[in-house]
Amino acid sequence: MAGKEDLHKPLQLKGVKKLFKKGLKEKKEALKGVSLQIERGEIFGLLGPNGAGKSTLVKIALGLIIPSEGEVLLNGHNPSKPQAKKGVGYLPEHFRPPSRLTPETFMAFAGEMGSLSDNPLSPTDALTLVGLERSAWSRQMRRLSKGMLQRVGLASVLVHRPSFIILDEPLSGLDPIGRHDVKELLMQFNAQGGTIFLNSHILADIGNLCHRVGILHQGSLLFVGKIEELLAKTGRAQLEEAFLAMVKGEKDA
Amino acid sequence: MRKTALLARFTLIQGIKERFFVGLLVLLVFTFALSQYIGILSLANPVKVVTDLGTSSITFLALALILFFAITFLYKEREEGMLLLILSRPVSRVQYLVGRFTGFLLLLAPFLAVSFLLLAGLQMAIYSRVYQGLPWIPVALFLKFSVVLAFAVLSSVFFTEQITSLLATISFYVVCQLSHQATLIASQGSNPFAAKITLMVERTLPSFELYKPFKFAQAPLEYKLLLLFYSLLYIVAFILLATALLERKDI
Repeated sequence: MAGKEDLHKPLQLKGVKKLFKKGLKEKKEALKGVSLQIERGEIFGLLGPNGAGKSTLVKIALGLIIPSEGEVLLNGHNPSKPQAKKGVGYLPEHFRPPSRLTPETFMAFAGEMGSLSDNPLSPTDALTLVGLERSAWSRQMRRLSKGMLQRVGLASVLVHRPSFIILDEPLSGLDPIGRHDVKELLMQFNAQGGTIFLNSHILADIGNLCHRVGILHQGSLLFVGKIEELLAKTGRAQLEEAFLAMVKGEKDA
Repeated sequence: MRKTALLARFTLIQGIKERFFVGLLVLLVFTFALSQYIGILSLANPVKVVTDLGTSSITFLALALILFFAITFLYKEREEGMLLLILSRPVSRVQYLVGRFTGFLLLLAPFLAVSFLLLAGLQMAIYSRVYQGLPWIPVALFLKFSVVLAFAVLSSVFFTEQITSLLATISFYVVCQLSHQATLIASQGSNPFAAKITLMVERTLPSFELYKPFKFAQAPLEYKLLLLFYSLLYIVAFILLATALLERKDI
């Protein structure tokens, strides 16, 4: 059971395992007893190569995948319960809003879903906040670029003023200006007290954005801590080198 | 309740904006024009002929509507991330499924209403009268297709492949449509096992013989109410089963 103090932690995972059926008898262990705690007000970056189990971990955190073993608490509640997701925003990887709708129509829906929270933003404010140009608001989504769609996705996450956001590869598909803008937006969100958990394989982005990082490889969490601690532990000067050293070290072992 | 209503409204907006929905309406107008032409050529009771042909066209197109929307929604939403986005909000899986199902019903109802209004309008314009039982025919079709819709939602939750779900729903429709006839034929045959099986199928699954539009139009109100209750039982059972399955499913 969660203690009173634990209820204030946005996310807690204790010994989380996930086995996926692979054929009739064979099973694949996607997560091998992952324990992790996200502190309020921090930006946490989860790093890992493709197939490491990052998306599975995020989906378990949100109650979208049921863990085979272990305990998960989102805002102190079982994540499968709707009340656990109050104040939580999530943007999946490769998110594509309905192609025939315009950002305005879609945001009206997202805004109404958001109005289930106490103090939501207006849909237009959210679109302005993510920097989507006004001329794109009434264009069908299928006519928007990948970067624009990513901004619409972010707007739909921020519209209900969440205190904790989980983003799966939020910078993928964005041009350098878009990446800069989104990073600015995330830092601004964090400066206002928001907590961010992001999955990314773009190490350079993680490096100057996150307070702490975790390295997930083949379902195991190899490291959790500050970037300086990771650099010190591996004896490398760059995050990319340190990441490779951790992952390859695990492979060699 | 509010979240369910919101999802239902969103489903309706999404559906209306789909090109497929507009395409079905265009096809409907074309088949009506064709049925009017055949009606003019018929020797006796052209209004009945036109109503028959029109009802058949609407039945076919309504089935296409259900198969397109109900079968594809879960797969498409999972692929595009909409399902994840919605379920990461304080929305339960039950609310999601009931909201989507209600949205499909809201899409089906105006489709049937517009179709029959158009049919009635054409009959009035050409023959200066409307087939007597016409207003009840869309009600019978709506009840029947609500049951098919509930099954389509269940099969799209149950099967991981879209094509399997589609085949299961078409099979369900065909079996329900033919179960009564099959029971009659089997009961007159020499194989008691086949007779038992067909009877069991007819008693377990909804029998679409009961929904025959012209029979329904002439039936007393008690029959209509009983059929509403009968349909609701199957709808609730299928949706409950679908939500129980979705609750246990990894998304």
